[in-house]
Amino acid sequence: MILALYVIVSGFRLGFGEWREPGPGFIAVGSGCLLLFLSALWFVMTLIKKWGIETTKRFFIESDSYKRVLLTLLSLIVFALILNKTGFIISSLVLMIFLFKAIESQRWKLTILLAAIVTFCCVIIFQIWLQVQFPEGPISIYTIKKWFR
Amino acid sequence: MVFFENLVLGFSVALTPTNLFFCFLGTLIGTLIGVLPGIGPLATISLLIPTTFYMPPATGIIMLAGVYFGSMYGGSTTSILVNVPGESASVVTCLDGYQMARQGRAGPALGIAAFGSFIAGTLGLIVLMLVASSLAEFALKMGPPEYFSLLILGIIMTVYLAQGSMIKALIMAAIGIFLGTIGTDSFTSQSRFAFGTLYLRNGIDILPVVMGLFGIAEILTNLEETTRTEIFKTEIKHLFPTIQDWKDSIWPILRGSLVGFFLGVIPGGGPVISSFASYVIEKKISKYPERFGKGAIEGVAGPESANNSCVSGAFIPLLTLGIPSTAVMAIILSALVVHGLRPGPLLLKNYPDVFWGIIASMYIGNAMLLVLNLPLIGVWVQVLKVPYRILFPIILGLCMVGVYSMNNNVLDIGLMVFFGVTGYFLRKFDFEAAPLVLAVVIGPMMEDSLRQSLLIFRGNVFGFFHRPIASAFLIFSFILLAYSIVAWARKKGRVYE
Repeated sequence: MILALYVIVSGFRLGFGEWREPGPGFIAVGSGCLLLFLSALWFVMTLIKKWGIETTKRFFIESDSYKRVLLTLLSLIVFALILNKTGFIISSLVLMIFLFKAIESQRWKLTILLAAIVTFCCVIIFQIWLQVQFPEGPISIYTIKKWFR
Repeated sequence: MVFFENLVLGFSVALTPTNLFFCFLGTLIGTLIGVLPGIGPLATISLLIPTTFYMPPATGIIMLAGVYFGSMYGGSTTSILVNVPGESASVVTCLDGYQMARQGRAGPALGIAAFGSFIAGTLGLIVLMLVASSLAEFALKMGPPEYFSLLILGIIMTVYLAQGSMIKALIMAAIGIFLGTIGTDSFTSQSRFAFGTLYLRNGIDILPVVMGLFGIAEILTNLEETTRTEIFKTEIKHLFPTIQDWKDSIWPILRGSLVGFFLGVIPGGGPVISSFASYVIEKKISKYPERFGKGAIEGVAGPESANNSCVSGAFIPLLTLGIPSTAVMAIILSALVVHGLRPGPLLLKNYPDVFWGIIASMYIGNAMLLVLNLPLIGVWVQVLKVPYRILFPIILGLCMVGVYSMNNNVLDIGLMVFFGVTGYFLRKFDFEAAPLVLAVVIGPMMEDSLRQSLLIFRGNVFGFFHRPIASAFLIFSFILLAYSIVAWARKKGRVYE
């Protein structure tokens, strides 16, 4: 409902226009009004349905589920933050090692091996084959090529 | 005569070595993701779209269509062997397919699923070829009022056919329409809801949204559980169904093909609803409905045929009218637009090689899938044994890389993660994301056609009812909405009694 109200107000600010010449805010106001009506309806229906009924449905399926979900999300956010600074190879390795090890733990050897394979495959497929430009960092395909010369 | 000329043109495009290779690659990837739970065709196709930037348009779409078809085939494998649908359209196959596996009949179940899918897919493509040209010609007569009313019908049908609450589906559609307004207004070039950022001024890219809502959200949901599924240990033999199996299955296959095709054409249908509808129909008309749920082969043949012919049907409104009927088609529409092709009646006229090439490749893809699925069942069973704790980091990594490779912009990753969290919470509260995705894609089209229509009618809203086609679509939409409201009110009335 808050989103709907924001959309309606912003829509009017953008300019509703006239029916013969709708403005840029025309459809925003329309979708906002629809959203407001439906949200209010759903809110009222939920209140009526739950009146006097205790709900025992758990939000998280297992008691420690939230840890896995939060850690995964944090790892994705950290990846996005460090990608441009550390380059693709390092940030991808860090992400993969974290996901393989911290979420549902593997042995260290397997973790590092899988992380290296996934990163290597991404470099081959995206950077070399498809010519996608990844951020360069201290370690990149160019530095690796130099090492082997 | 024209029909055969078009077919020859199509095959001349589809049978080039490059297109054959990418058709095969698409069907292979599609089967793989159909087999593996945790990622579906929608997120996969979104992930693969950036890779098609470097291909000719026909090749890219051929690969993506192969992925979609393949996922329908692959999903049945896990449904039958593990009782876990690899893909949501194969949910209903679990009911009888797994029971057949438990009775030592996994082979015939897998076999009839593959053959049924092949027959249904082929029949669907034949009808597609027969009606495509006529529909494209008809679409040339449609103007903004007709398009607007058809899009309204599309949204209403999507909501009506939603599996959960209609109100929630409508809320999602309304949010999707709003999200479609973010960016620059096409009429006045005014920036809308961009908060002064250049990133949002270009509008919201649908790919990070889809990958977040369906890829990331799916993984976050799956991570909550640590239980492991066991593959039913049975020897898979006699993949070719017996004569009795064919006798029992042929009519369900044909009926499933019809149901699936029809539900693929209409907006909001889709493979999931097709498979359920086919199962319900087969159970209702069966002489022995009590057999359903206990290993009835009809319960596998019908739904698997339906979900495959639905894919063929779904391409009709997309290619001929430029209107996606499902969320996956909305993504494929994005792929076509990225390649500079505007799907609709002019696609057939201006790019007949692309149009017929895609259709012909779907024939070839269907044949490839039959070859891939039956002999390689053993391979797919081994793939199923890969633990999810190894799969999900790979899927997440590919999502991150895939979304970044679109525009080399870290903000796309942020957007994907945002929608991943949103999708996770939407699932918790039983909101479906598909209406939102469809509305984001067709919302801008709807806005443009509405504003053009109001300009034509000089603000007279009733002008829509002076156009026969537009008024027919609108009246049907109102009837559908009214029927839903009445049915809902009656149901609530009975509950409170």
